[in-house]
Amino acid sequence: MMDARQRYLEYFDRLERDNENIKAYRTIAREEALKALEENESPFPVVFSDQISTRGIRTTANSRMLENYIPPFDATLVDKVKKAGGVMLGKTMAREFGVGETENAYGSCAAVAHGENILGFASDYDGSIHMGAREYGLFACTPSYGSVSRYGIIPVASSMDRVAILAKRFEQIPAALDMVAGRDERDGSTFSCDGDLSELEAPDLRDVTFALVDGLEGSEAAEDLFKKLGRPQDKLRLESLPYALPAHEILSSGEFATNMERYDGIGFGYRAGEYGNVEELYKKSRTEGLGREVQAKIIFGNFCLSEGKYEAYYVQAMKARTMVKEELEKRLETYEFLLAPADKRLAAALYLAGLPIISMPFGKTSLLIAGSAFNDKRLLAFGGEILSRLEREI
Amino acid sequence: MAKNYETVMGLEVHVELKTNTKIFCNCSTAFGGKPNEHTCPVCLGLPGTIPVLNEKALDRAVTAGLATNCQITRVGRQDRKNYFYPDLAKGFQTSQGDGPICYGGYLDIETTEGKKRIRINRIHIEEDAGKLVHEEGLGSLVDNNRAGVPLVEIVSEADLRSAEEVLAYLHKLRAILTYTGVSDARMNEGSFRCDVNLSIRERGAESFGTRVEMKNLNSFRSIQRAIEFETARQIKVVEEGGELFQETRGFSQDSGRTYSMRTKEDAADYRLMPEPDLMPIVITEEKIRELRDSLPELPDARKDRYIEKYGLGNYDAEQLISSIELATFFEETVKAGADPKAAANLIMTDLFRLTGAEDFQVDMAPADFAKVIEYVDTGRINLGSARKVLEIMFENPDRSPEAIVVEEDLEQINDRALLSPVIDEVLARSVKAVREYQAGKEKALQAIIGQVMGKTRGKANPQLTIDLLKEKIG
Repeated sequence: MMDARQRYLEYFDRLERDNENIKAYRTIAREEALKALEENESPFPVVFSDQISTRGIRTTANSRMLENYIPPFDATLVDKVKKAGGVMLGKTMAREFGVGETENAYGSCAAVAHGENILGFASDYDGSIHMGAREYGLFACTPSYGSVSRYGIIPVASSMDRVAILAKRFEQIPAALDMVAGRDERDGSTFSCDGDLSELEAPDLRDVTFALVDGLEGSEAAEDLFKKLGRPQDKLRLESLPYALPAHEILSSGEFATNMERYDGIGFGYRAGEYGNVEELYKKSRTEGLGREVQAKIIFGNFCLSEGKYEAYYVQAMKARTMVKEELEKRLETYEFLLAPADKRLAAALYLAGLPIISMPFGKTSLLIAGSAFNDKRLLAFGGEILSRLEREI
Repeated sequence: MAKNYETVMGLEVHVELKTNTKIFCNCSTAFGGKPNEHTCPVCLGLPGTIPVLNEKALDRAVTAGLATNCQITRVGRQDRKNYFYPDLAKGFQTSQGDGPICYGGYLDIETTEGKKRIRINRIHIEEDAGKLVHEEGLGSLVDNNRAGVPLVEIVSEADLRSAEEVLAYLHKLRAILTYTGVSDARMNEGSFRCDVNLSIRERGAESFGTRVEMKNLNSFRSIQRAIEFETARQIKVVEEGGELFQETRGFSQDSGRTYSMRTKEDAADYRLMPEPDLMPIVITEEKIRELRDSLPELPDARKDRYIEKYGLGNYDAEQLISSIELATFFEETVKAGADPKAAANLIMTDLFRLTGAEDFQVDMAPADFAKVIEYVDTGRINLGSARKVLEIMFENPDRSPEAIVVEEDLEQINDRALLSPVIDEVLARSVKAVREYQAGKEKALQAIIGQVMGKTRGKANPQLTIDLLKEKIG
């Protein structure tokens, strides 16, 4: 029988050959992984997207700006995963600072898909990770906003940022969420969750109310799956959906613009080589250190926050956010869960509202399920039941 | 002929809150320390870090509001104020825009024309920035020890009309803040800083003139000088037909002049937005009640007590309550048996000369101070000697008044038989002064008394000296 060390060594050899093609990793942490392996009794492999701070291992947010940044601390979720026995294989690719140019926007999906039982943790602010999961045939879960600490996650938009869990098998997800969820003193938006998630009680589908969200991209394929669940009549449309993307874009850009102000070439991060004065130091460092798309989002965000525009854009977008959130919450009073295809607008809406999401791949399509805030445990139990029902049917 | 102008002022006072740790992290707020000794990933603004509000800082801000008759919000919000400056690690200062903790308060000041009420617009919490240090050969360096130290900004309405009123307001505010433990309010350590918004208008006018904001005023003296200079400058500009600009001006202590720092056109657009990393601040009725109940006796109440119980005058009482250290010293002295009026007088003459009224700090025991008052009262020493004793005690608080009087030979000469020959000797040498006095020139007597004091090294009983002189030459 091959020992664990041998298996990891062989995996790293394979990974180093394949990474150029799969474009999964920014940094492969072979030495650190082998060391962690020795320190753990029941180790399991994990990856973190490169926007999640890891002590002693460079965390670039996929940007030249943080090319050489080595955090002096672990993100709370990294700390929790490590303590549970997680062996970090490396840091995965994503968009620059979550929004910009990249070789692979879904590096964490690629990394999880490449192995057999790798758990992936990726930060996400708009639900696009569920599109990535669909592309790579993975299960994905975004827990309620506030159930997993954001401390140490390099933010795009603080009020929307969440960590998503990625896995090849659905059973991996509840245990992973259990590992990272909970109140964190260092993140005031966190709450403690409702106990042990690893022991889920499967609900009887006849007792659960759920509906399909209609009128989305991919609704037809989702409807085919939905029909198999025996309740074809429960369908609804979300009136506020047209506002979701614009509101999401304005608010996330505003938050992004101010979150990015710390990258000024002074304290840390990329600094331009030559500058005449401090004003020029700021301009050159940011122009050279940040990609075009990142710059565009910063400029748009600052535009929306600037004097005279704030009321017209930002305040309106905050109102739209409330509207979207209230409609979703109202629908979730009637139906405990909403099913849908992995649609961009719906994902943006769910991220504006901070609601928990799971998505499951079925061939080229994927089924997304959302529930009420902090109802994560029921959502996972329900998801598991839907999955086994559909697997039987297909 | 110049028109009759009045100065209109409102103040923005930044006060460091007295907490052990910073506003959003657990770093120490201790003054001083090696550069960047009191820093962590949060106050350095490292990527991914999140601020968490220090509840103590919030309590202090609420207390400041309660002590200045403010309304307290039930739900407050914190905002990001965005601007680039090297001492600002995050590129924004977390402050408060529309949802300040406290609003709509006032405090009362004493002016030469009587009591005046100054309204307080708002009190909000925010974080301090770091500090730039310019080192020869190394360029500019950033010290973030102060970054994240909790502050409140206390904004008054434009109710102040003179430098005298401004100083009275600042003294009263500082007294309130030190009494309640909200802040140490030390100007020399930067924990009490004041910006003055100043404009002029013709007396009686309803509308305000163009406002200038003055910064970098780091002492009460500077504030007074800056107000006087700026008022005169603005009047001159208007009188000469010029135009005033809305701008920020600094004050140079060396030249005594204000100078333009930036005009409205260069003013930053701070792009204020709700801080998404911080939850709304919820202040419960219970919390407010608890903080209100724990308020100590406030300066105005203490002043009334001094007037009623000790019979002090309004002005003296106002002086004594201006800092908690001073008021405590005064009360301890009275408790040790001293006459309140005599204690007040000696504090305000001799102790103020030694320690300064603004930063009252003495190490001597109030009981020892009371002893000195007793010695004067019983005639053991005169007031001149009392001053000497206090000077010595100020430097050496461990030496007792008894020892000082004996060792320094300061006992008053109250014995006619001892004093009489000294006076005779002086008179014999002061024929001219004696003649002048006898011709009706009262002043001449003072010169003779001065000589007697000189001969006795200040120990002669002044009244006895006068009596003897009048007997001999009157």
